[in-house]
Amino acid sequence: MMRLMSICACIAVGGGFGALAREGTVSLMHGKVGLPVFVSLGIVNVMGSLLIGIIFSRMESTLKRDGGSRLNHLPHASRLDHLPWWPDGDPTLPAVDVLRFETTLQIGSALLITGFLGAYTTFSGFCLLTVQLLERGEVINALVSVVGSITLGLAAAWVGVHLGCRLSRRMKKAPAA
Amino acid sequence: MTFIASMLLVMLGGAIGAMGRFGCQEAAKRWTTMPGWMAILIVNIIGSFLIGLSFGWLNGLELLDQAKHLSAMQHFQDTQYTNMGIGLFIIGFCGGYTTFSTFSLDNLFLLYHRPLILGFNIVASVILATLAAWGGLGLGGVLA
Repeated sequence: MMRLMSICACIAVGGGFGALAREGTVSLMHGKVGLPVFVSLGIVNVMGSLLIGIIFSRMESTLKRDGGSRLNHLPHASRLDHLPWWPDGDPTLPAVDVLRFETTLQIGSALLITGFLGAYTTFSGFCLLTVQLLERGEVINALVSVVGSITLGLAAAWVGVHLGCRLSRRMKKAPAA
Repeated sequence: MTFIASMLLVMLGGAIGAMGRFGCQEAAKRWTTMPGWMAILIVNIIGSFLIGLSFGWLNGLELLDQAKHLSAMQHFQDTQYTNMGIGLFIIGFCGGYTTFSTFSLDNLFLLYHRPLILGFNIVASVILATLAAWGGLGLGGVLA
């Protein structure tokens, strides 16, 4: 119960700041830089996809220690083969370490992935914008928005997972401080 | 006051929306056997319907105001309420409830294992959510 409440609080904090950051980014791009709204919302969505790839793979590869990581289903995980499965190489206190890592993973993914990035990117605003563009007769812009956002979002998630795995590998190679 | 107030409203809406999405995801995981991408698909469709509904409703109210030739003071007040509603419901709640980043990450997993479901997910998300937003927009305009 306590854990569920703290996860909910983390999601609420992350979601609040994510929505605020989205509004800030869109008004900066639209108002100050002068890009059309659908381009600025597309930039927000693609940027969020890139960040979710980096954060997801970074957290799963360093904190998920029970072998059930979703990362194992991706070819990117082959880069992480040589990482030690046991946390910190200390077999005397494995249960405590696994529990600590699990808690960090849950709280971190609630705060950053479900909360911040989930609220930073939006699908409903994207659909509303598509409807508005279609009603104004700008079919080409609507098509560019839909196809571009989804393709670039998928590509950005791929690049993000790749970067996160590389980052984890490099961090692990450095001598422990 | 208005800048800080609208910031707080966006944050409040985003927090409630993100918690609502988490609740839907967990409920789908616990009580049904649907995969994760389907829960996100349903959340996105519901959120798109809600954004269309609230946007159409607020827009309809504004048109009514213009038709009634309100006094300047009352018009100012009504515009304030409309802006608050946009910040709280549209940008905050609906924007926080639906997500694009998790959709992209799910697409990446589907790309490697179930390419057919990837196509279905993309087509269903775009078409059903856009239709839901359009239907909500029409319904909201009627309700106002």
